[in-house]
Amino acid sequence: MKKNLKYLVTLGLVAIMGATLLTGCGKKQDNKDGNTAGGKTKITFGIWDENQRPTMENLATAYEAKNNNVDVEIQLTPYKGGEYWTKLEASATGGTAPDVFWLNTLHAESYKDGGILLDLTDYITKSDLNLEENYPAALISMYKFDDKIYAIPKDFDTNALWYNKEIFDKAGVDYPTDDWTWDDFVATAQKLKDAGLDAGVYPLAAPLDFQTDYYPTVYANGGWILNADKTETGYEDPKTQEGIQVWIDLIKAGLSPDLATMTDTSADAMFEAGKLGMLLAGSYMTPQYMSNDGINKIINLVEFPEFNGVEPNIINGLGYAVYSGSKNKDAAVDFVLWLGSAEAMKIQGEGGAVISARNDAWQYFAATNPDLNLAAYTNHSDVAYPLPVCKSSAELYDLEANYLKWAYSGEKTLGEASKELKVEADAVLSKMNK
Amino acid sequence: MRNRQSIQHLFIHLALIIGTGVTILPFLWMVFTSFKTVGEAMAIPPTILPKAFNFDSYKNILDSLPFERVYLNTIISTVATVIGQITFCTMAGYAFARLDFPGKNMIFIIILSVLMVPGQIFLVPQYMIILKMGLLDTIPALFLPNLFSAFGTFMMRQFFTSIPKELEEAAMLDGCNRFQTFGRIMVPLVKSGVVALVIFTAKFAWNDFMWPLIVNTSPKMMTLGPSLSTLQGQYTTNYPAQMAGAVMAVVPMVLLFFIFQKQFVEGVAHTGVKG
Amino acid sequence: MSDMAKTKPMRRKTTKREKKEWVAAYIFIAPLVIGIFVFYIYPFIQNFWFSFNDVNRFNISTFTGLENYKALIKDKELYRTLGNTIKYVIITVPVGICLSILIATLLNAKIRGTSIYRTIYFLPSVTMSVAIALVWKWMYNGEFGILNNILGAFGIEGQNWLSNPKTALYMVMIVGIWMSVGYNMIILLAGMQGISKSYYEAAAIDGAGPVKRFFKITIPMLTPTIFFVMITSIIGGFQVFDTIYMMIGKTSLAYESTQTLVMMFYRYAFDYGQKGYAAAISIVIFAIIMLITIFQFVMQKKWVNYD
Repeated sequence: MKKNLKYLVTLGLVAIMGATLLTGCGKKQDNKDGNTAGGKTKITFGIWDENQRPTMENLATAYEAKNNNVDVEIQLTPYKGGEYWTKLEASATGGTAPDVFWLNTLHAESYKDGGILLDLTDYITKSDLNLEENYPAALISMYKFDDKIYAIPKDFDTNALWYNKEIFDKAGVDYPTDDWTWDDFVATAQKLKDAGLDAGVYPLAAPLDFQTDYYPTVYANGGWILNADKTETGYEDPKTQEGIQVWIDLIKAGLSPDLATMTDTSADAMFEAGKLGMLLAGSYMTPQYMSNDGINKIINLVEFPEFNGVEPNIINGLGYAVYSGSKNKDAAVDFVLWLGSAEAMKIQGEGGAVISARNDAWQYFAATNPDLNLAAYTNHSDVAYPLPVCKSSAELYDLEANYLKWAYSGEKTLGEASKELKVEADAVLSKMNK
Repeated sequence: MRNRQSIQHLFIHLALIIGTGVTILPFLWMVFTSFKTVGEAMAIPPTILPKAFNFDSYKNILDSLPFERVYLNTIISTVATVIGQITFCTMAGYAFARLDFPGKNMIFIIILSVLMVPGQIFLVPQYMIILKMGLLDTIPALFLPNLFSAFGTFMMRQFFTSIPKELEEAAMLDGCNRFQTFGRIMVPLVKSGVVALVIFTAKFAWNDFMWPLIVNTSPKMMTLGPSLSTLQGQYTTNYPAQMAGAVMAVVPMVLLFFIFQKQFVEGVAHTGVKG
Repeated sequence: MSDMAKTKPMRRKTTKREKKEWVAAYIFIAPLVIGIFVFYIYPFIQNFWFSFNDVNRFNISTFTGLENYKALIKDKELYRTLGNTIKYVIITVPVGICLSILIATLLNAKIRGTSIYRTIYFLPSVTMSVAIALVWKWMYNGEFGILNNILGAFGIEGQNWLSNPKTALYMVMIVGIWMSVGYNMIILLAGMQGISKSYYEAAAIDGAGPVKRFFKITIPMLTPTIFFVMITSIIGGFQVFDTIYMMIGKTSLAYESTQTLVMMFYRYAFDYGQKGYAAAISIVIFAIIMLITIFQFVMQKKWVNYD
């Protein structure tokens, strides 16, 4: 026993030291040729979505085929628990971030301020990319600060109305159409309700979701969330409040489950369980719905219903950025510019997971599933409002949820909740601008 | 007397069985969900048993990960962590419990203070240390910071303190030096504690999630939990796949525990403490 | 701890034997101390320094003196999360420890199937936290949850347990206790093995029943282990994070009444990228736990039985 233990302890120490030393030596060599593998220039490419990995691999292969001396290595870190950003920030702090990486609007400005994004303006001007002409202005503006461009738009998302055909059939109500107005939407929900739905089934859901639900109607109604110089929020504007109130009214009318029910079971989970007649959802939800064998054969979608005579929508999208500390800057820039080309955007669009950002590549997303009316997402994306963002957006979105929920639950009026929200939100903005 | 004892046992069984109902449900749900289709897993109200046992989720995982390699990494990292922690924590725990030296209380409190801040603050600085050591994306990076545990030291200290002093003194009188006393007398006496620490450390190292993702990059340098998490899309929730992964990760731990927990009782029988 | 008191500096010269003991002690603690300093104390000091700085996402800092602390003292959220955390600790720690002792005692009995029982009680501590959160959310669900079904059978009207600000924190506490039992049980079981059988034999001869033996022998002899479980449970309670995070969303009406200090820390450090402010929060967490722990170490002389 005692002998064993001593033996074990010694063995353990030796093993640990040995492992550390051995790999320590091995690694040094790795470092030396960290940027070139077998005479090739190595570009590391940071992404976060497993659903898009195959497409990204196709892109890497296509690029490598054109550039024999380049090796693109994809590094996937999951998004859900924030690991992607934590890792990116740790590695940028240490100077080892991937050469090229996905960026979203939520992080763009603070990353720019942190100095880790390479200014791409000159490279773009010198290239044949023609950014202004080929990409929606809303998307370019998301990664443009002080007239400098820090990322090439990658993809975008908008919102559309999904519906469950089985529930409509059972109630004997006609399916939604692309030319619906908000009134049609509400009237149909009422018809579904009147037809007598099964227990636990609702005509629609109005979750407390800014990007998919109330921002589109707020902007369509002439309201606003954040002013141009990002110093004030618009929650007290009556037009803003009208755009939010229409959703609360859906709950009040009993057409949507109440907020408490939707926090117990998310609206999305209800729709996926076949418990909702209609639900607005972002284009990024398409792969999830289509992979659910419980509903994928009985659902379809139409455009966001017209509101106040306007096609309401919010557009947001990712970008490809280059790390300012990259040791292979030129190769990385070349790869990123290629990722913005018509050829690369077509490959991405045909992957079917996202809508490619480039104007001439929107069509491919809809074409990936002819059974669905996926064009509902792209028909009016040219007039969609860009998602309002600033450096403190994460904090503002949280505040919004925290205050507006009292209006959604009926404990406070929207006016009261918005007033308190504006005070807090404006304080965050003034702290941000200090 | 005999009758009374069996009634007593009956009550114990009854109490324990009631408890198992609640402890086992989430585990069973995890196992059963791994055999469901996505649609079934999303059903409202949820069902417990799958309509049919399908192994697609398991097949998918085996196909999309360098599974043997990842499993091997997890085992190496776990074994290294366990050996390191047992060695260092037992040694230090003994000194803090039994030896007198200047600065003892101060050092002990400083070590404990590590437990008193949110663990997330260590991530980035540890990343920088590993980077400076040139060990990013290597196997040792997975376990190096985990070899040293304040929790384990504190635990071992407590186990050492509860051993009667006379045993140690007797050994010292027999001419054993400190190191011999420690190895021959004291460690065997806290075997149950060591086994408990093995279980904790193994569980911790096996499930370590954030750290491997931050410090390592290549799929072949990853451990099981983080590897599985990379299979989740940003907006997609594939419960069967997630649970299948969890089952594959957890089952070895449960088996390990099942085997080791017997050591609790046997440990003492062998060393034969006499009060 | 009694021997800790002895380490107070004494006027007399240290003997050769004592010096030898010092050397041995330093050798024993050296590997651990070096490792802890490199991998933990250094980051800890950096974090402490950050709390006096404005720090961006990439650890670039500007010294701001006490600004973070001044802002923190005025932050209503600090007091709210602190209140929730304290409530959580005050309830989960005693209940969790009592339950763990009870279950460990039952599992220590010489009955059939203890291996199976122990393994089953160990399951919560290895079950994936996503699975745990999902199953408990389902049990608490207002529309189709098991809890409401059971209550309904008794004619009691159920509710949305996790969305109700009055009940949500307690519901989360139940999950916390449930998770801690498997963990504590292992330590307590290990501690029970260290109690010499001879005590029990002597008590049996004196005719003491199982209840009396439990209170007169098991509990007193187990106090060093209970002390450990208590300290670590308090520390764990102050740092509770992932189950609440997974069970209570940002749009939940119970959000404010369930947020804990560490969740506040986490949001500032990772979601909002304000690492200086987050560091100040972590220092507050540290200071509170440290005070409680020191108090515990002082108080233990009154109840913990060392040797």
